[in-house]
Amino acid sequence: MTDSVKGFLTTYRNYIFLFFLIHMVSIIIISCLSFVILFVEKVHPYQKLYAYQIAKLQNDLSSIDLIFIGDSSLGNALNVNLFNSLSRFKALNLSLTGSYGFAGNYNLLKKVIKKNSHIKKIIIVQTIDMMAREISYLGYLYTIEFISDFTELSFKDKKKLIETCMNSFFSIDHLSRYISHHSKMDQTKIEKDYIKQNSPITVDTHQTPLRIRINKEKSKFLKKIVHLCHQHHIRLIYMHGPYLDILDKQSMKDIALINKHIQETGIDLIPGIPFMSKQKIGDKIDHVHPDYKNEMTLRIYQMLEEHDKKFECIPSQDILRTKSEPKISTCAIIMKTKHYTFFKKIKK
Amino acid sequence: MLFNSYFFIYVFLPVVLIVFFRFNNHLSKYWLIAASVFFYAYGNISYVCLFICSIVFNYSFSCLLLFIKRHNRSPFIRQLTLVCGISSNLLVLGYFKYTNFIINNINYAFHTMYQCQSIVLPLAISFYTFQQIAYLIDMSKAPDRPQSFNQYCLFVSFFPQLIAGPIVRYHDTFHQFSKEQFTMFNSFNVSVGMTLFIIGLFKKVVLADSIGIYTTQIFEAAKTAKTIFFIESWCAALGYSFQLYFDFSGYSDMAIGLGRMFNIILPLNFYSPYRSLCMIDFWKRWHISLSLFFRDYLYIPMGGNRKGLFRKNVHLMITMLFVGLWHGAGWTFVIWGGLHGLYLIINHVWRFISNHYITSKWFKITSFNRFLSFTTTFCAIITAWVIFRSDTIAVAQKILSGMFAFNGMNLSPGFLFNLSMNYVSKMSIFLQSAVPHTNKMIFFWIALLSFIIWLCPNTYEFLRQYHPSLHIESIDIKNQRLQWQPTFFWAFILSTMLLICIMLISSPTEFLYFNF
Repeated sequence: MTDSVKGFLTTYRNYIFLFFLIHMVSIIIISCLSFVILFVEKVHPYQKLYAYQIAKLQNDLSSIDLIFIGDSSLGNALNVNLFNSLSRFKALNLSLTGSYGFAGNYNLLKKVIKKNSHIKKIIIVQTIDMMAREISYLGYLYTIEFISDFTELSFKDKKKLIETCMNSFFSIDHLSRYISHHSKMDQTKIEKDYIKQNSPITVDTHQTPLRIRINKEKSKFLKKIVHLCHQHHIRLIYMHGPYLDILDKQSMKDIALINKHIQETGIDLIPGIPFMSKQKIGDKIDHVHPDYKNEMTLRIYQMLEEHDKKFECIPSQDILRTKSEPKISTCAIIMKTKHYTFFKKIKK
Repeated sequence: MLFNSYFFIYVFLPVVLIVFFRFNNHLSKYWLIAASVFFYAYGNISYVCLFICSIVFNYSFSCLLLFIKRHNRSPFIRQLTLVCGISSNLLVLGYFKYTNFIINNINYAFHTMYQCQSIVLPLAISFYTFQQIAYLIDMSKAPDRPQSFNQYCLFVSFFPQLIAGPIVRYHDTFHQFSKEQFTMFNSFNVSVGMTLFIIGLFKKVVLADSIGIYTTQIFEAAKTAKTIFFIESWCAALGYSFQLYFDFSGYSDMAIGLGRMFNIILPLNFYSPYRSLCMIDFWKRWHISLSLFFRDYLYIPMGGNRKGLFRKNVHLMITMLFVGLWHGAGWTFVIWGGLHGLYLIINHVWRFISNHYITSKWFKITSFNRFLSFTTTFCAIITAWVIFRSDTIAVAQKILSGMFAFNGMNLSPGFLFNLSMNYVSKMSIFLQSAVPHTNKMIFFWIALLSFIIWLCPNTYEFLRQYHPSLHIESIDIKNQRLQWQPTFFWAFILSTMLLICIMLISSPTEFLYFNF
């Protein structure tokens, strides 16, 4: 090999070395930054919500009978205080967001059971198209606490989780969130037990009806939830979250398929959907406007009561009193709700 | 496995490259074949058997063809063997790709109720089937000795070109696989390959995927919305044209770059097709390896241009209908192919008339005429892309009627122009109401991508000194100021481009051509 050729090749070798050096340095910087953003500062709005819900578990949970878990359709729809007054349950609302999916709820539930093993009832409320979404490995990643949370997964899930971790680690979204967080542009606020809603959307007349293609893998973590509840003798009920009333014939067929798919996991399902009109929707078509939160809480209570007639008698500490008292009629509940709203207005 | 995934970039590619150059002997080839099969099987192992069977079958047939030729059997037997080989390949391809399309059409035409099969299209079947058909035809003609099986496996399964081309011919790569230098580390080739790969990755991840979000919204909205408005439909058409170009040419650049890292120079597949001045020119620049395949193995065997103008046009139309059908089993693809056939016929007839009968100075090449040719060609191309992209003919109709102003040239009904607002607010409202079914950012992306397409050098102009691909010699490359060189500046620029891609591939998307 002549000297000129040797020199030529050395130049390209140097170029490759230089290229990798610059790339490695920048990757290390990005990784450190991502680590701080993800695990130290936790600036993602969903992480803030998760921290808020987890903080509830630090209180004394021994008096809690009922836990609500689910996504934002639940978080925006349920006034847990009103629900408690209606049902005389001591319930806790631990709703997260749809991004956490069943995977995130599963990890959350493990924490809840670990803290209080006397819980008798858990209600999952998820938006109707949840079964069409991808499995939320990101939700699982955000809620992981122990190494056993990772080791219990199958090989395929572990692989997916590692991929998600890498995807999330290098994502440019973190940097933009970090910047908006520190420049006070981040408007995420917890209000009335959930993330504050944006301005309500206006639904046009040509709103697309619901079209759902079920993701058959989606029920994987739902099955794990069912198994976990079964192990701890907890009664588990699944119900759909509120949704804008835009469903046509095809949508109803899709929903019937979803229900069938959910029931195959062995869960007790309430098949109906608490629909809402255009006027009552908030910033998404499955978010109730804050003004109608109490009304939706009542709907949820009614649906639960219709589904499970023994719904009111379950609380262990109230069992004697419940037996002696007559069952509250729907009319009485409405009156009670009105009274509650009235009371709140006076309080304001 | 996707090129635009962390696993490929940080695990698969470095490991395969290091081991390949570490062996530096015949084992390197076996290693590359194993890695290519793993690459194919990753994510979905179910069709690996079909892929391997296809390789074994075609290799056996090619040996049989050579045997027949060597022993001077009658040409009829040779032709018959070749026809059997090609038909078997086409039958398999037809079963996986066209069964449901045929069933649906029979049901529609004869009011029958045959059930559609649940057939999943095996990844890359169109590409590797065509590559092997070309090999069989070449083997039946050329007086070559049979290639070794491992060489053949490498030719078909070589992972950079396996999934979506370029469709490689055996005389393009066989001699390169048998060179001694093939398994030796060459820093020059690795540097050029890396540059090509990063440019391709950038095209896909940053450019194609970014505009893709907005165009998809409009095409999805067209399924249910009553009307798609004038500006919006043009945005959808332009956006999709750019998305498809950057997506597929990005993939081809990555494939050529990866091949180059392994000391293999792959053929050119794209050369600024949207700069074409006529449709004939467009098909010399768009998916070049597919155009050449159809030209050499369908158009010319049918008679090509040797049987008069009329027959030539018939051949052209048939070829283009098959090109359309190759892209997918749907009437929208057939119509797209037919439309391009029509464009080419018009172009050839126009050329014939202008060469033979018109001597007017109005038809001489001037800047204005060039501009007119360019605009007409580009509009024709994007009109055809709308049909290509649409799921149904009804969706295509909606967007095309928007483009041709059949719904009027007005903006959406939500358009409010408040005079009391400042200029920026007015502009913002104007832009948003022009595209009610998507984000106004689509205007920014269209402007940026137009600038890149028409004013920046393409990948091969940028690397013209380094012989980036095969067949590049036939193109007259204009001198460009912007040239890649192995300097600190370019190392910095390219590593920054790679970093941006890495930060944007958090949710990798498939290449559009994987569906074909």
